[in-house]
Amino acid sequence: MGFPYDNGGTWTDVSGPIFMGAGGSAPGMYALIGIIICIAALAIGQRAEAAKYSKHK
Amino acid sequence: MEEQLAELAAQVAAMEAKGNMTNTMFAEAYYYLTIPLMIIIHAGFLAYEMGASRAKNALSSGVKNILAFAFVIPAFYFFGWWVYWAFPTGLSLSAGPNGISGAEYAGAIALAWGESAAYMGPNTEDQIDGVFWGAFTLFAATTASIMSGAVIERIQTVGFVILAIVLGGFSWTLAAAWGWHADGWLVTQWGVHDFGAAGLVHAVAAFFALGVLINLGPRIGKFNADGSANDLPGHNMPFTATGLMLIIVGFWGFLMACLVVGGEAWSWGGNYTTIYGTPTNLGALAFNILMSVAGGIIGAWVMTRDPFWMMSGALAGIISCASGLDLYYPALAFIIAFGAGILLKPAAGVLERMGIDDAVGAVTVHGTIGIYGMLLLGVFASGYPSGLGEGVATVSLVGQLVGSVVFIAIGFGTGFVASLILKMVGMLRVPEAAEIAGLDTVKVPAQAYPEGIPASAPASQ
Repeated sequence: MGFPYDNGGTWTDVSGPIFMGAGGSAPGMYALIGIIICIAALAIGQRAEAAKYSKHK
Repeated sequence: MEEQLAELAAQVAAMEAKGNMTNTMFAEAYYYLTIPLMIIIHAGFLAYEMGASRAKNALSSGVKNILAFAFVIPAFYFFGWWVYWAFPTGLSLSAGPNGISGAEYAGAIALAWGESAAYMGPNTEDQIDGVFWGAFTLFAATTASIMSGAVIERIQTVGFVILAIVLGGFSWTLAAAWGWHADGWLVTQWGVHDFGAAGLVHAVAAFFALGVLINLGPRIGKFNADGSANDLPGHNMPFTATGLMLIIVGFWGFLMACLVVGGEAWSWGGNYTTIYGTPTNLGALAFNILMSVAGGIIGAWVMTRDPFWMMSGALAGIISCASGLDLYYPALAFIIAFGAGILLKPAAGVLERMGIDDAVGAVTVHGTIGIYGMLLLGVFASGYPSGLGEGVATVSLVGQLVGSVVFIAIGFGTGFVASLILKMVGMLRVPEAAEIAGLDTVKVPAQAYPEGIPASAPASQ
């Protein structure tokens, strides 16, 4: 969190990655959470779908 | 005098920097605009599939299509982009002759974590990775949509999404790494040329779908006990035909994104090239796409008189010439596309007689015609250098045949294995009772036509 450039809190002379968490471990953590969300969404979707099919067997 | 020279040199340097920045911004805007154009392909597939479904399955088919789009995007962000840059030289993950491939290179630019995350998000010094990734992501999503139409009306939603992730995140990406990359072994060793991805997008997706269809089986009522086939017409032919036209509109963006624009990070100089570094331009596309669309429609009209097949013929026309849109003479493109339009329905009939229920003809349009186009390019472009520089492999029929076999194997093999696993765990096909009832009624909390489709009387004079 926080502005990643130590230059007095301005955009002056800022270049390179400007996204939140740049240069740290946050991008990896966000990526991991994103992957977990995808897998969890599929698992939840599958459970709901199976429940629907169980009524039409 | 020295001061004046120094001032002049500084002015020249400043002008050069501005010129370079203009080039970079043009390349960035160019690829960015291909993304919404390619999203039109998905609008088209959405309409096409829903129209080709019976009314009881219209929304279910739509949900499936939308979810494939949504899940392929993060899949391509999290691992598909890495696959494309890591695998060009084969399974060794070693670097190729151009130094833009292999596990080390891919790990440096295409992972969403660690140091390479700098290239996977907003970066003031990198105006290309994002838009290039975006264009490739839409290629990936297109493969999933190609497969999607073939399997409508009986596949489970989540099972289908998993297949879409495998196809969009891995199967086609591996094919692209091998045959659509300057370091790709099919290019450097066999001279494979597939400019507009007839083989590595269309055929890979189609043969992936064929592998799935074998495990999935036909829709209930498609085949009689004696093996003869019944027609299961979709509920809205105008919607289907309009969807096909939208797909064709979107393919202008798809093929535009197949050019490498001068001024971007991976460009080969100041002008347009193919992804192999060989010369081309937008004029080549304008000539050949239009002529191939026309040839495909006319060929299909001659054979069928049916608007569904005519619009499919337009798509088949583009696909038949896609491998060589950069090199064909437009009249030759027209002839090849006309042949594709003629072939289309008979080829679909062969598949049907084999007991395969491809609901929208995707295997034929994208697979049979994709391979037809790959091979014809090997005939007509034989001897053309496949890349820049001296001593590169040349295009040949044998090379195109090898490329086609590899693309078919990747597509069919991964599709068959992935769908077989899903079948074994009960995630491939919906239960028979659900299929008969209609999938919208079973699992979609909305109605496609809550008031039916009433015919209104015309106003009195």
